[in-house]
Amino acid sequence: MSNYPGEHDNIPKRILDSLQGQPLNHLVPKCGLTSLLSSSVSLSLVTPNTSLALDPENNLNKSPKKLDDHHLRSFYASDSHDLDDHLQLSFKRPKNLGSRADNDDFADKIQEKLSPLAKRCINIADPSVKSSHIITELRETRHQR
Amino acid sequence: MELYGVAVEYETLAFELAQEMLAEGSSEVSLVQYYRLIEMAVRTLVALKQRGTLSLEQDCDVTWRLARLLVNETWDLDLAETYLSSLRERIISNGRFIDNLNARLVCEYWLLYEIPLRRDDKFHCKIALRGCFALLEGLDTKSNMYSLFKFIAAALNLKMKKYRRAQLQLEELVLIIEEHDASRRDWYAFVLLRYVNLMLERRTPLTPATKQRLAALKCDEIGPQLYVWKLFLELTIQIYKDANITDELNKFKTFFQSYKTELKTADRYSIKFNEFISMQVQLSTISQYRDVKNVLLLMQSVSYLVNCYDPRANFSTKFLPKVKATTGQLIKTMADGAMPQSLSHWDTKSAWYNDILYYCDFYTMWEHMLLGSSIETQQPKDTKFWIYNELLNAINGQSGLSDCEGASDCLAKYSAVLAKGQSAKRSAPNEVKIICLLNQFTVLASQVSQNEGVQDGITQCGEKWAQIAELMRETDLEGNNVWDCTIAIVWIISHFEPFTWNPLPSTNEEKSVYMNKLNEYYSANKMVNMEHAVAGGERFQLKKSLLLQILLNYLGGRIIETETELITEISATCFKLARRHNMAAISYVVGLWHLMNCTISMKPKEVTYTTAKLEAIVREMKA
Repeated sequence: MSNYPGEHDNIPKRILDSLQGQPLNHLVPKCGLTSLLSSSVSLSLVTPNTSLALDPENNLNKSPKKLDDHHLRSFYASDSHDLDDHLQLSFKRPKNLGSRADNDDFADKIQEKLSPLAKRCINIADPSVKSSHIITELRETRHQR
Repeated sequence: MELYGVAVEYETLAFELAQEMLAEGSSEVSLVQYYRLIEMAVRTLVALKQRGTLSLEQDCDVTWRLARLLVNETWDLDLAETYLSSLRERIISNGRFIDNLNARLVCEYWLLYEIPLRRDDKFHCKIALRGCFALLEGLDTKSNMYSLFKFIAAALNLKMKKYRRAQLQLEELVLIIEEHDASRRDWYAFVLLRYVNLMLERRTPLTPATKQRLAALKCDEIGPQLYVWKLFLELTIQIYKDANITDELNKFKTFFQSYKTELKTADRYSIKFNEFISMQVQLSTISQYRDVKNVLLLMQSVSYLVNCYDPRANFSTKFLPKVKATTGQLIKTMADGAMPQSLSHWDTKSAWYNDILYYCDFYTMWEHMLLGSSIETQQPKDTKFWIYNELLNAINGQSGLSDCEGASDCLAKYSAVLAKGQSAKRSAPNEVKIICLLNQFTVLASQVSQNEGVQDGITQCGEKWAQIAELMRETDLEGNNVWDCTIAIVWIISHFEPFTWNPLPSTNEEKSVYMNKLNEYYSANKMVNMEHAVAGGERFQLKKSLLLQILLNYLGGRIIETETELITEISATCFKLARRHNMAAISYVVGLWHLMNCTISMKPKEVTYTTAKLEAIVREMKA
């Protein structure tokens, strides 16, 4: 082979040189697959309701007190001492769910579905959840409130 | 006490709404309404605790329900912690309670596992781990509660990314359950599967004993959910080896024939510890038939990926878009027919689906790379994929690299992936590290070959090679033919004269090790009519990955074969394959070899033909 194509050109002539611009792309990373298998695992301990009195189906109370509005009002009254001055929770804002524009009647739907007692409770307690209470990350909210 | 029922009602209604919100997309109004209900449930439970005179049993039920709401729906973990700690005190000071120990342990479970795991910092995990060990001291090592908290200790280590410790603890736990609690096959299986899964995530080699334990799990003993997990892990082991997966797929097929419907109905798995405590496991991969099928298809695509050198004839090109479409569909319908669940549960599940979508994109791009087309990577939304993304970028940047400046850019990109790999937040998996190091090594060695910074280059090559060897020993990749053979090839072409201008220094011992490997792989995979294929070559069989086949046969043809006719046949095949795929530089070198062979075996027609092809390649490369 006295002369051959590319002989005097500056192109790789040996196999190692030709690998400089040719990554070993047949080595494929795969361990993400096993992370995928286990990443969604969540555990929770469950216990049977030990106290029958708490079974919503089961009224073991000797004489169920009549729950009038006055009673409920004082039940939900905000004088609790271990929650600052009133219960203000910070809720988790979903990060991966689709959203859509506001055009719904969820509030009415809730009213329809609640039992009379639950309806009275929510009207009396009237929890004021605002968009600003629904946040995406855990932060030191305690001190800021 | 009727008000407890009201709290339950709020929670139930909220979860039903969550399902609606998934189907229709959640609006800000619906989100506020959802949390209004949650807040009502919380306030009712809190008020019950404060105003009612709850018996200890009642207090337990109220507090645990409250804790679950606070932990799942809110960021107020401190609050949950306060309630749980004071309940724990009450339990400890009250000896009459029959399930005293169990109730206390449920509190500990929340305080040592659920809550610390959700705080995203090491500090709390460390404290919890200490608490966990203190608790273990007081428990009977033969009791099943002991093994539960042993598992929790491992989970805490895992959260702190102390993988080795977590692996050891899980391994130990498998043995403990096997010895004391052999009848509890579901718990045993769960821990074993978690252990094997973790080993595979880290690509740590499994011992033969572990593999036997895995193989011994029976579907009728552990139930279809856990059994699917086992099947997935065994499939992964084969895929990791780049081995044939037909047998594993058949196992799935047989399994589906009998258990398909059972997977459709259950979306959680329950492990009973005693009359009082059971543990619910939710794991998307194993609970729903539709998810199982989808993940299975993704795994198949990845298994077939290396074979890919024809865009029309590879499974992955068909499967990956299918997985992507199905996943999109599953996101929309995930709540269909499921039990009402918290919004945050669905959010987590969506995140899992998004991961699947990322892997689809990632492997699709990899496939394009294999097919020789250029790719454009996008920054993924989730930073946990940073490493995969940067790896793609670096590899993409190396393609077609020809000058010195480009080489140092490219080396820097790989180094960036490796450096990030050392920071604790995102540690690069070992396999990614080896990929970076090997590509860096070939770039550096080829610089040496071309007389660029020879002395420095030789030192660096030595360092990279030592790191590669060390990482290979730590991982299961040693047992993977594709990787093992690649390493032998890269070593040979950087240490022998006809393949580099400046061979790197080596010992005779190294030479014989790598030459032996080359011999074995070459005889089992040479691209000539298979009549003289060596018996027993199966052990060294390789997947048909194009680049590897070309390099292996090029080396075999140059070093091992002696018969001119045969050599020319091999060089013709190599040249044809390389030319079909955008590998100009490789085509050129292989073409030169083929031209030489044709000249020697006096085939004037072939000589003319090959010369013309080479001229075309040269023109293309100079353009």
